Amino acid sequence: MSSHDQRGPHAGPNVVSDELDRLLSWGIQELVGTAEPSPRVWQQIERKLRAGPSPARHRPRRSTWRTASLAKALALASLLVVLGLSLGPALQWPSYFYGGGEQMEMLTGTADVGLTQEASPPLMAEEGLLSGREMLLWIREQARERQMMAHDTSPGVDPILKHRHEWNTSALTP
Amino acid sequence: MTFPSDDQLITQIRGGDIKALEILYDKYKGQIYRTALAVTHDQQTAEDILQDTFLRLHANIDRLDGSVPIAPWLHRVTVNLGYNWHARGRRWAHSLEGVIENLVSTPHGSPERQAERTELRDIVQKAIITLSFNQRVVVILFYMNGFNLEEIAYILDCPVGTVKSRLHYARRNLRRRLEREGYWQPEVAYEFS
Repeated sequence: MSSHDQRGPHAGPNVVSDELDRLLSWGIQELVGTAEPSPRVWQQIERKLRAGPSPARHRPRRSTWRTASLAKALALASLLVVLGLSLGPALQWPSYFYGGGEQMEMLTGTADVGLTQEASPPLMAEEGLLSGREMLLWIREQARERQMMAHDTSPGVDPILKHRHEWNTSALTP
Repeated sequence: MTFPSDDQLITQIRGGDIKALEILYDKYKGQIYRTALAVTHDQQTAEDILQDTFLRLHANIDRLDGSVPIAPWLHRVTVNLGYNWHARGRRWAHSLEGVIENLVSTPHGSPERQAERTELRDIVQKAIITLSFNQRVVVILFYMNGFNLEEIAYILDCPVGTVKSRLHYARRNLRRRLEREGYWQPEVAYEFS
């Protein structure tokens, strides 16, 4: 497969290494020949472009949505941090924050500090606090991801246009 | 007469110049259409993909880096749209023979020579069609479009090693298929150019 380290067979005269390459190259060329699209394709493109909004109108909306989302995520994260730090070890987080405990504990609430201190060791509270931190980390991660997508100059928003960030442009220059 | 570069055209399109998009379309429509046609074997689908590719180009024109060649980007969109089409199960809706007859010009030479050529062509093309979609796309990009491995890796958004592997297995599968049909013996030179 020496030719496979080079450009494809039509890029240069010396890269066709064997008969199979030539056969495949010929077969594919014959398959499509010199087929051209019908003129109506451009007419349809032109009609759609003239009828639709300009591309510049799309982006601010997407950006606004992302900013709003980011703001909400940050506000929620801040709230969780404040709650976690102010209540500290006295807090017994509802079980749905860390996936443990009885359903009943959730229903009886976390207000009874005395009962909580007696019934639940500090570990329990720490678990809750850790879960809060984990959630904070998760929210930060989501926000960072959104931020990266917003700054992505590649056509990566639409899955159809997905783009590799590590693409080396020198590879394309002849 | 000097033609504007892709970079210049992209700048003009950003300014709302549809004529510039038409120039870019005229420049690339043939190769994009033929790639879509080779992938889908359906003229209508290939035209739809061509149309969609250029609409997406226009919609994302601000995101394009004009300093990078645009052909791989266009092929990436084309192939992704081809994948979507394939995933929806709308494959090989029309008979291969009908498509070939519509597309390929009549070969020259004696009737016997023409018959041989047609038979070999059909065998090769059927062998290509029996490849998995992933392998077929790599073969088309490599043998038809002349992209190198790195460009194909970019177009398919996968490592170069994956491209090499797909190309290797595609070639192996094609060779086996041709051997089964009695059309491939490495020591035999075929005259098909």
